[in-house]
Amino acid sequence: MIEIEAIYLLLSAFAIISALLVFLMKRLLHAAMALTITFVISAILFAAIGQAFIGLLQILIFVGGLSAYLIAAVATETKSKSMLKTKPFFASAIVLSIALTAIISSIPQAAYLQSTFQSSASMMFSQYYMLLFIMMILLFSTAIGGVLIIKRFRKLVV
Amino acid sequence: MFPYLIELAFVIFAIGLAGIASDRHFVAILLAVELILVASIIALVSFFTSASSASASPVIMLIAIWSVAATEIIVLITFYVYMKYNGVSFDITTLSKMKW
Repeated sequence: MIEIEAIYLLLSAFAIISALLVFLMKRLLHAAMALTITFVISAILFAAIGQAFIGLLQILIFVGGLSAYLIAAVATETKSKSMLKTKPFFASAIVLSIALTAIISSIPQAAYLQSTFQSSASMMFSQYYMLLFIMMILLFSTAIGGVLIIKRFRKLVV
Repeated sequence: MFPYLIELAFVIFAIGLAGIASDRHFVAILLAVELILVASIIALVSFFTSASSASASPVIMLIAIWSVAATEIIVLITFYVYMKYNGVSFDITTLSKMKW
């Protein structure tokens, strides 16, 4: 049991370090690679808690699709991206982490949260599933619009 | 059951939010939004795994988050291509100068 907790802690530490490296790396390519590592570690964590299918989908969509696309796009950028003021970044990240953890741990009745969560989830899957599909269609049309805009930029530039 | 995942989600969310608040590079801000989406996925999956019955699955909600993330990458690359090939600065404080 201790070994499993140690593995969780180790993976969480790696995820936090790679999330920090997204902002601390100076080149965009390295930042995108650090983001990819965060995606991979989150997928491993999903598999570790028994949701292997979601971990697999996470790998397929985020790592295989989005990260490859992102890295291919920003690979040619050689300028430094760093406009970050490091001290306010770390201070605000630490304060926000502590505040969010304090808020969630101050919720008194976890059982009440669990029951409302179950009822809302069942409503989402039974009554309001059409809203989700409409949202998906809208977002998909946004993606197609983005591709069309890129084509228009190419015509403008070339 | 999985005590560290919620805290991990909060920490990653806070890192993303701090990155949005303290960085001025356009692409870095959108990468921070991706981090926030990853944090929301981690929180959702850990809630579902520890709180829901076996019949419910978070995949439908996750599809919504995944489609938001995919759309955001499309928007990022669209603006990246536009800014790079039109000589627009990636500093978001100069975005008011961006025109068709």
